[in-house]
Amino acid sequence: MKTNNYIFRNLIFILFLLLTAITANSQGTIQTPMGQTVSVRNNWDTAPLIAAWESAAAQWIIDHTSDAQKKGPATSHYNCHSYAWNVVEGGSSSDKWLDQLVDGNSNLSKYWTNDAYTSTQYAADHEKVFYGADDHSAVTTATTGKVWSKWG
Amino acid sequence: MGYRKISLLLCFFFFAIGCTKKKCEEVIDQVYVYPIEAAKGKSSEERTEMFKIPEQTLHCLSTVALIKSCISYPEMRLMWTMSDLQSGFDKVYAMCNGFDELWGRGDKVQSLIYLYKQLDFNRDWQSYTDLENGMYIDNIIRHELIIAQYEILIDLTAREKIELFQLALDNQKKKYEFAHQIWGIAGMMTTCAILSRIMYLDKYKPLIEEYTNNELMVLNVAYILILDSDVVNKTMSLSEDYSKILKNK
Repeated sequence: MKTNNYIFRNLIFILFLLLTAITANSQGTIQTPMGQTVSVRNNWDTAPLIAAWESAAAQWIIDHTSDAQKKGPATSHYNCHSYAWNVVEGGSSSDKWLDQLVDGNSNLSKYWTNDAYTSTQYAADHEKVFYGADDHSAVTTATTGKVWSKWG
Repeated sequence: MGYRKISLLLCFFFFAIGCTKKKCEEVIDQVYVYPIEAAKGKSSEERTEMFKIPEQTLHCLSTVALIKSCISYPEMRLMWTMSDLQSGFDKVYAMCNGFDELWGRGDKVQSLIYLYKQLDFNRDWQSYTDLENGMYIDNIIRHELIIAQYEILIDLTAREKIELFQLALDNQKKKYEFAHQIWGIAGMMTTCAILSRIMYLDKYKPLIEEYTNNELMVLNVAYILILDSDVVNKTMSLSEDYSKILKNK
C-alpha cells in the first residue's frame, strides 16, 4: 500500500511536469465577448529586451518631439491586435499574441462578425480601429485622430 | 575633318566623361555620422531625407563601414515596430539608402561574416545592466537581420554557406543557454531565420515538410516571427542534421 501511494504520488508529479511542459509550448485560445474562440500564440521576452525597447521608444518620442504617451511597459507577450481587442477589455496579457489570420482562416475578425462589435465606416462611431492594409489595431480616444495602440 | 565633325567628336568626348561614374579618390573607413541633432523635431519625411547618405560618400564607404552605417541608421529601431521583423526590416530598407548600395557590393557576404564573427555571444551578462545587455543584443539582432535577407543568402558560395551556417548554429546554441535571462524568443528569431532560410533555399526536405505542414514554421521563414518555442527547438534540431550534410557535401 505504501509502495502504491509512492508510485501514485510520483505519477501525479510526473503528469504535472508533463502538463507544465506542454502548456508552456502550446497554442492558447481566448474568447470574444460573445464567446467565440480566438487563437493566441506565445512570444516571450526578457528584461534586457524590454529595457532596450523602452529606451528606443522614449528616444523616438524625443527625436520626433512627438506627443505620444507611454501607456504601459514594453512586451512581446501580446501584439497590437491583442492589446486593442483583448488586453484593454481586461483580458490576460501573458502569452496572448493575436494574429489576424490563423492557418489562413479568420481569427481577429471574429470580434466584429456576429459578435459584440459591428463594423462601421463612420469615424465618430468607432470604439476600436482595424487598419487592414497595415495589419494594425488601435483603440479610439475622446480626441479625434488620437488612438491608443501598441507598437509592434 | 570639318569644323562640324570636330565639334561632334568633342561633344561625344565630354558626354562620355560626364557619364563615367566618379571614382573614389579615397575609400572611407569611418562609419557615416548621421545629422541626428539637426533632425530633432523635424517631420518623419524630413528626417528620412536628412538621413540619406550623400551619393558620393555612399559609394566611397568601405563595405565594412557601409554595413556599420546601415546598422547605426537612426531609424533602424523601427524594425521592432511592425507585426514581424521582416516587415520591420522592409520599413527601414525603404528609408535607408545604404542597403541598396550594400546589395550591390561584391564583398558584402565576406564583410558581413567578418563582422558577425567579431560579435561576442559569451559576454559576462551579469556584469552589465539590463539596458546595457539589451542594447548589446539589439546590435547583434541588427547584424543577423541583415544577414538573414535573401539578397545576402542567395549570394553565399558553398564555402561561405558552411561557415555562416555553423557560425549561426553555434551562436543559436549560446543564445539558447541564456534564453530565459537574456534573449527571449524575440532575441532568437533572427538566428533561426538565418538557419531556416538557408535550409529553405537549399530545399532541405525535412525543413520543407515542416514548412508545408506547420504555419508557425512559415512565420519563422517568411516573416522572421516565432510564436512558439517549439519552432526554435525544431529549427535547431533540423539545423544540427543539416550542418552535417553541408560538411559532407
